[in-house]
Amino acid sequence: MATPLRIVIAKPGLDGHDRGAKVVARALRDAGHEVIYTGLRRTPEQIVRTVIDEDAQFLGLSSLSGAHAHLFPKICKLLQESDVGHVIVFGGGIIPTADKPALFEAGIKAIFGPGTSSTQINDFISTAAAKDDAGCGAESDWHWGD
Amino acid sequence: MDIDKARAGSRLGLSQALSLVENGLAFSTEEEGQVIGITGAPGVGKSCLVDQLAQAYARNGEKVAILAVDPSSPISGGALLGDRLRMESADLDDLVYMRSVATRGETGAVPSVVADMAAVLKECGWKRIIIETVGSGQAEFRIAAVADTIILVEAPGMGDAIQSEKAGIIELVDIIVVNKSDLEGADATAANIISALSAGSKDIPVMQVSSHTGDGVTYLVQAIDEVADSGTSRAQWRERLASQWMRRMSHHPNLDSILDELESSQINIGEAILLLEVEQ
Amino acid sequence: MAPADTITEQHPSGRLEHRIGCELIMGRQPSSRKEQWKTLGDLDIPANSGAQHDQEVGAPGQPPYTRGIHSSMYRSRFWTMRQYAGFSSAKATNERFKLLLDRGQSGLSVAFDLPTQLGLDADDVLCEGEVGKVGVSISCLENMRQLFDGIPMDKVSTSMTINAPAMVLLAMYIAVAEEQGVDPASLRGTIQNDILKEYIARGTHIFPPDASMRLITDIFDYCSQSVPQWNTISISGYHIREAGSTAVQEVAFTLSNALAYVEAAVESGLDIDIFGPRLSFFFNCHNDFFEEVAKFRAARALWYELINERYSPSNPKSAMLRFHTQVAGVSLTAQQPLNNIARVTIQALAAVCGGTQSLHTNSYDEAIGLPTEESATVALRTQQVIAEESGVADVVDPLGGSWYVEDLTHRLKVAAKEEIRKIEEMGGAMKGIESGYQQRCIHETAYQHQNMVESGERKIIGVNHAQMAEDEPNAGQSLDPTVGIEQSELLLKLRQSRDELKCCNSIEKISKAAKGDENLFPLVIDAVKAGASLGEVINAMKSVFGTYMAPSGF
Repeated sequence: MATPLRIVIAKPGLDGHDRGAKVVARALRDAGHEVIYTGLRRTPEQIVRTVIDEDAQFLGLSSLSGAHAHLFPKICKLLQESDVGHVIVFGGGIIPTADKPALFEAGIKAIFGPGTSSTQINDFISTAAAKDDAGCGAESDWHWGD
Repeated sequence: MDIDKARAGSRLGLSQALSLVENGLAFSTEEEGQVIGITGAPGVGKSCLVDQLAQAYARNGEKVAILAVDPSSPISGGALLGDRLRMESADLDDLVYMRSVATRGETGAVPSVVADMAAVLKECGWKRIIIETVGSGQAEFRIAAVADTIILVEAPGMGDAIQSEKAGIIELVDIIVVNKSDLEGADATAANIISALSAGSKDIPVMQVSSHTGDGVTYLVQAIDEVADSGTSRAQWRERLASQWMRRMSHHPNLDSILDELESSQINIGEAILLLEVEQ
Repeated sequence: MAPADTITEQHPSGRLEHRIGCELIMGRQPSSRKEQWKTLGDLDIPANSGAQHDQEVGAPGQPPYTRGIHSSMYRSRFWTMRQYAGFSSAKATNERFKLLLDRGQSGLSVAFDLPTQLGLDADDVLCEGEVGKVGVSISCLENMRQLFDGIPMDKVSTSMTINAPAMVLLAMYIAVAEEQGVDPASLRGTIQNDILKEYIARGTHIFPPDASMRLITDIFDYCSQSVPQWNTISISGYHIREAGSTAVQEVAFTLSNALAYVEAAVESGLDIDIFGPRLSFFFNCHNDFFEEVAKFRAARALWYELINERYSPSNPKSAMLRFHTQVAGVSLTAQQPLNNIARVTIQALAAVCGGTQSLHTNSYDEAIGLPTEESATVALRTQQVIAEESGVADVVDPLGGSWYVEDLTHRLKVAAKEEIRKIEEMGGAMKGIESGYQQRCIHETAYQHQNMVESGERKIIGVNHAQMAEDEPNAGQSLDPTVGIEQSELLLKLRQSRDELKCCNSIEKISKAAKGDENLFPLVIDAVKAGASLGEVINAMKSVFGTYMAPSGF
């Protein structure tokens, strides 16, 4: 059996809605990955600490409170500053189209809204895992759905 | 293995070294350290207790590492590792390192790689290492393969584990904690356990702790130090041997092809065992 | 009579869920909206279904209220069309409130931002990026003053969607009312105050269960004496359903939570006939039209049965389930968003056929971002079309007697009752929550739903069926980013100008009393009057109660 990917699913900010995060976590488990779920209300610093301690290759962020515009880029920046710019970051929740360019610019590589199937997320994971320039700190401006 | 970064104190280096070991690289060390195993049925509050213990060590200025084990799905090979949910201290304190570990291909509550992961931690200066097991019955004994000190956690209203799991585990356990001491029935549970233990020869401390309020944790920390030098018992050696035996099999390079041959009736079990031994 | 209100403000929240308190109208005498009741084709619409029929399925307005809590239902008065809205700063919200009041509206609905809901001051480092996002930011008495500046608090009823720190916000409300010279006894409104569903599904809890229940019964107790017209709780299934539950689970978990509150209140010495009529409910309404209609009917009958069996109240209103409905945010799709108008219409129609007391309809673009003026208007107009044009409001319980609806009602009631029994065997709602039972059930259903959608067994138009290539819709508006900064400056000023000793003393009294069993409410009122901020009061409680994170159900 191939070594499973380690994926952190995190809820940054104060939003308490975790239906999406939990369903995604379970779908990724069923796709053969090791999924570390942080639980609610984690600060950017806590999330970065989790990613480092768990030696994760992927980080999925879920937010429905509108705080994504502030929190997602902050987390990407902290990851880069902590020498883990290789970690591939994706996001989910209610993310207005207008907010997406700034998030991609900050290093988020995919944004999944309501109605996303786990097949789509898994396709992204396997595509990104095979690339060597998909980390949140990579120079490349590649992102999913290009 | 390049462990210098980890030795120099890099968390990322440590995490990467642990991944290498988790993925099969063997590691041992001469460094000393205390490995504390926390076991008990699901729902007794193991994670919260581990969190409290870690906080207590950190308050004393001691570095403490946590390895929290969760089961892998036998179907997909994936795992949901949710112990961080209940371990707030892990995300906050530089003195606490927390790592979730999936059982991967191995049955049993503690995969054999955990011993080598603990060795990496000791090598890098983490002298207190807490291992939280998957809470599930007989397989719990496997913690003895790794831990120097074993704490069995019970809770009021959770049934009487001492009765149901037989005396076997008593041979291995160093301390019994009745968690949730803030709940009704904790005194009675502790009294039941003490009376069940009185028949045996081994003197095991029974302590009441509330992982919710933190009451009793300081005493538990003392007790852990007091039982630390009890040495390795025959029963522990047995679990260590079994664990390494298991590891030989589950990490055998030809395991998949041997299973294929068994499945297609090309060989029988006896021949399979011979193949496992030959290829070593 | 015109619909109760015509609010069309924008929705600044990107969330699928909108907190609405339900201000419910009690005790109105049946009047009639029309003199004559005719179909579009001029046929007479009878007032009731006839004596023989009523014998079979019960009559509207009669126990067990399966067919509705009023005998004339919407013939006397439409449901309240209560569209939720939230704003970033207290000042901005105040301006909007005044506008609404100028339009003749008498009820206000306050949505708070997440820091406020979690008892954090706006200048807390944990609140970065969250201040003013999903509602108004209230950190101190001055904010509450700004919010109600120039609004006569004895004239309006105010619904506040606030749970864990409900006591502090209500204390601020009372304090500002007193400054206006208004007697608290004349205040009307609702606080959501339903902590159990926060543990189960919504996630804005602060304290461990025991402490939370104590705060709730302290509120029940204090209000029954000093703020007797206040609805002290709105027990919510909405968020349970959004998190993925079935209709049966929604009813069962909500009513089992409600029983826990009733039990705690009765245990603390309160009279069911005093606080019972002040309990109100808040449900979801999803796509399965008949199941949803049946759900509301079953919930009413089951609540009547449960309360009567256990408490034999003498006031009939003690066992009468009154509820607000919001249609299912989770059913909205980001794909082909205009289709959501059809979904919302079906759901709203089901809520009306189920006899709701008030209703919020979602905007069609809420799966994408913040509603536009246009989408918010369409949402309200949908309710108005149902009310004025469809004719369903001209007849009482139009589906009563349908073999399918009656059968579903019966089966939903039986299944929900069985589920409640199961939870009681575990030791009640709280024990279930602490072991993660309800959370696990909901997660299981949510995951099954996802799998059925992915396998194509459950079809969702535009998502896994009838898909089309489409451009990404452009939606979303930005909120005033300066709210956080303004709030921090205000708090700094507050802390410099208040009588520090008096303030500290008042906070200390709270932590001292929290260790015993004295009612905390009067002390909290004193503290906010002495200038203590929301965060400071909550921290005093945290120092005694500790904090708690409910099991996630994994």
